[in-house]
Formats: sequence, C-alpha cells, structure tokens
Amino acid sequence: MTVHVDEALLEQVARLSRLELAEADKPGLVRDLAAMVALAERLGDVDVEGFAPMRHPNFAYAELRADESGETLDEATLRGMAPRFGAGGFVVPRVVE
Amino acid sequence: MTQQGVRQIRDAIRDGSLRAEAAVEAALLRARIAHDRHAALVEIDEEAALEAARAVDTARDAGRTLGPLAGVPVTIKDNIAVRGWSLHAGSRILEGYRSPFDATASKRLRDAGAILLGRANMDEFGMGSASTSGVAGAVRHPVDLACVAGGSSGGSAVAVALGAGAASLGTDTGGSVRLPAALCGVVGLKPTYGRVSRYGVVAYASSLDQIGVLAPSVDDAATILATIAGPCPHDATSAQVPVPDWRTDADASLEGVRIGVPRGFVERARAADAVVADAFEATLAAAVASGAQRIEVEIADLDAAIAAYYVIATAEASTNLSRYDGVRYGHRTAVPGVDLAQLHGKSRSEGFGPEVQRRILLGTFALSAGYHDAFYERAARVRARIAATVDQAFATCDVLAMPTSPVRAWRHDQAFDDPTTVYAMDAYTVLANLCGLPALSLPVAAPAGSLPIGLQLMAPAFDEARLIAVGRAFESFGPGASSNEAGGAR
Repeated sequence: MTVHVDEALLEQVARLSRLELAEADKPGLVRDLAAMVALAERLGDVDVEGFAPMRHPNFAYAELRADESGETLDEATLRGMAPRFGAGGFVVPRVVE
Repeated sequence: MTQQGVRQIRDAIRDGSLRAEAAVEAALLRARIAHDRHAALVEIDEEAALEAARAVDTARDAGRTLGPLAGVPVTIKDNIAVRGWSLHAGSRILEGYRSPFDATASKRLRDAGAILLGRANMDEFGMGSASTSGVAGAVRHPVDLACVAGGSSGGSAVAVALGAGAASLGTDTGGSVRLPAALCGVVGLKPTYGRVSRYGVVAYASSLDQIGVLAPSVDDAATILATIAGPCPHDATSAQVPVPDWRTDADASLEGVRIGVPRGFVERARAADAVVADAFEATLAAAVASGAQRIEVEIADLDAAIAAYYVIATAEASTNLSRYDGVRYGHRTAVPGVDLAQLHGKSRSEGFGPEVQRRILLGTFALSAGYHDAFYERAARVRARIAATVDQAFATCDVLAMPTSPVRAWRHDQAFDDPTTVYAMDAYTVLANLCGLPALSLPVAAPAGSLPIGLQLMAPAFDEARLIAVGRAFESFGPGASSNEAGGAR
C-alpha cells in the first residue's frame, strides 16, 4: 500500500490525535510523516502468511488478583493533586454544552 | 571517572569500612556534576538521601539487620514514580505533577535499604535515542560533552558512568536502557517482559515497555534486578515466575556456549561505523578463544523489525497518551474562551514536544480507518514472524550476540535528514522488545581514544541467568580487563 502524505492527510490525523498544529510547522510535519509512513510501508514486503497478529509477548501469563479493596490514596492527597477542588468534587472545564 | 559498584558499596557499609553517609556524600558530589555539567539529573533529593543514609548508619551501629542494599545510592529515571518526587517523564505536559506513591520497583529498592538520590533526565516519554528531547534539556555524554549520551535513559547512563549513584533504574521500550549504556560505556540490562512490575511507570507502549537497570558491571545490574523483579499485584502483566538468585548460580565460563550471530547484522554496523564492527568481531574472537562456539543464525530483516517496532510503539503511544487532555491529566491551556475540542488540542500541542507529536501522529495514522489493516495489523503479524524466527534461532544457539548500536555516540550538532535516520539507531535493540526477551548491553574493548562501544546479548524468555552468566564471561575481555585480546584500552 503506497500512501500519499499531504497536508489534508496530516490535518485529518492531527484532528484524530487532538493536536492543534501551527501553520508554520505543517510543511515540515508533512515531510516527516511521509518519511515515517515510507518506513512503515516496508511492512508490506514481509510475507506474513500463516502468522496471527502478536499483540504482546504471549508467555507472560498473569494471574488476576482477588477482587478486594486494598491501599488507596486518601482524600487530602487527591485534593492536593487537583488544580481545583470544590463542593466535594474536582472542578473541570465544561465538557457538555 | 571512578565507578563504585553496588556490591562493593554494600559490602563496605556492612563490614564497617564505609559509612553510608560518606557513600551518599560522595555520590552527591558526583550527582551535582552530573546535574550541572551533563544535565543527567533533573532533581537531587539531597536532604532525604542523607537522612536515609544516617538511618542506615544508626541501624548498623545498633546491631540491627541491614537490608540487602542498605546504603547503596541509586538514581531513578524521571518516568518511574517515587513518592513525593516530581514525575515529568521529560515532558512539559506533566510539569507540576508530584507522585503520591512509589512505583513497585522504587518501593522494592527503598525497602531493601537503597538510597534514592534523584531523578534522571530522559527523552520526553522515552521517545528518543539520544536523550535530547526532554524538557530539562539535552543530556551530555560522560566523556565528551559535545556528544549525545544515547537514549532514552541517557541521564541514568551518564549518572552511572560518573559515579552519581552505583546504579540507576531506566525503562526500555525499544532499547532505551541498552543504547545509552552502550554509548556511555556502562552495563544495561533489560529483563524479560513481565519480569519487573510496571506499576508506577509512565506508559509509552504497553506491550513493549519494561524497567531495566544501568550499572557499572553485570553483577551490579543483576543484584539490582534481583531486588526489583517478581510478581506484583498492581500490574496484571507482571509474570508469576519465580526469581532465581542470579548473584550466585552462574559461573563465568564460555566453554561450549553456542553464540548465535545473526546473518548480516555485523555488516550493517560495518557500513555505519567500522570501528563498532571491528570491536564486535574482536570480542567474539576472544569468546571463541575462551571455548565458545560461534554459529551463524538467520533472523528477520532488521528494516522490517524497525518498521514493525515504530508502528506498534507509536500506535500504543497514541492510545496511552490520549489521557493527557488538559482535563484528566496534565497541562491545561491558559487560553480563555475555548470549546472542548480546542481545549484538548491547545493543551496537548502546548504540552507535548515535537517528537512526541510526530509519534502520536504516526500512531494515530496506523490505527485509523483505511490504514489500520495495512499498518497496525500488518506490524503485529510481522512481529509474530520475527518472534518465530528468533525462537527458531534459540534451537541452535544459547545466546544471540550483536552490536548494541550500529554507531558510537554522535555529536549534538549532527544534523539528520528526517526522524527515521535516528530510528535506525534502534535496529539491534528493538528485537528484544518485539519478542519480549531479556537482553544485556556491556562495554567491549575499543581502540585507544575511542568513545565506548557496546555488545548486546539476548537470551530466551525468563532466562536472565544465562544472559548474566555469559555477560560476566564477556566482561573478562572488556575494556576494564588487564589483558585484552580485543584491542587497546579505552
């Protein structure tokens, strides 16, 4: 698969990435992304017939621990980490219009 | 540049010939140099370190039993949580964040009596091969300030090389412990995926990330690894596999050890830096003269490995780093009157540096509709094929050997055409991460006046014992050895 990387593709990917790119950076980023995609296109040269996708090193079988509550952070610590705290909760920017 | 090892310091404190406070004071002196001249440390916790050292001395004076690492000063990479310390992962987006808890590895070191000296500089989120992209500035090589230290755990490697602590914890997603170790002339050990808990590690690429150890010698690295390894209830990917005593169960003979050298790997280094290829060949010849057997093995094409690595790592990074949105985590833009999409976009673009943004873009691309199958899915299948070829290689050899890096440390002012030129520095190291295998980089003899050169060994999963035993044997003809057949002393 040969992909043509242009400013439209960069902007589409930036939107999906929740990144706001500066106009001045776009030509350089198109070049960089094109080089990175060209590197990734080498994957097409490898014969993968008969190989299922490997998502993680599959020998590391882990056991789930018992569903019991353990040590947690206390409220004062959590409050201290929040930019704003009020009315018993974290104050965040409006996320629902 | 004197390095004092983990066991040396520990034993001296135990037998009373060294006070823990004196050991920590000496390390702090070097830590200041590592901080001021090399930008290797971003924060030094002087007061707490001295207080902890005095507590070790008091315990010893009172005849109490000391922990296995009592009084040994160590540094921690800035993406591994230490209670009460800032945790920035080299990124502006995490500025102001202070960790309320210890990572499991930090806690195990602390519980063993180790003294946590300070935070080591790194590439932002571990995304780099030179340790030049962190918000605290570029790390400078321990021997030549004009050169890079390798990355992304460059601060850890420089700290160890300068003696600012006897060891350092780093993280290794595609070579980030081994590459800086090679470039700075210290030992870097990346254990098997799942061997060390990742609880408290800032995630980059979760199927590849693993904590590793940088130390002056293989023995020192093994001693630290023995302390931090083992199952952890807070990390579902930590493996339920017993931890053997690596310090005593390995002898240092190479007699009959079958060393697999992948076809074409040395030639690739020769094309990039002939001195690296020569040093590797001379070391292998010394190993063969000591009774080892050299076997040529066939492993996947390295360009495909780099491609698979960069697609998988960036895809996982784009997912992992989506949490930094200015609401749940991280920097929030100060620009007023923005809607939610703008809040996300501005916060992230202000907080992430250029290389992190590039990698998020590539990862998002590889996961996006229309490209997912040809890129992310394909990379995961190439990964499976590579893992199968490496498995097959271990049917005919005990360890794999190759250069750690195709080149020695490069200059800070060296210009690269595009990011992929630097990605090629990871050619030999990404294999171990893709396959989840343990790997070790150790310094080999280099020509007089040369910057350090590293050799990498890889072993089957959970066989760190083999890696450590062979690594120790290789150390006997490394740069520190009195008689070396592999070339001049450094």
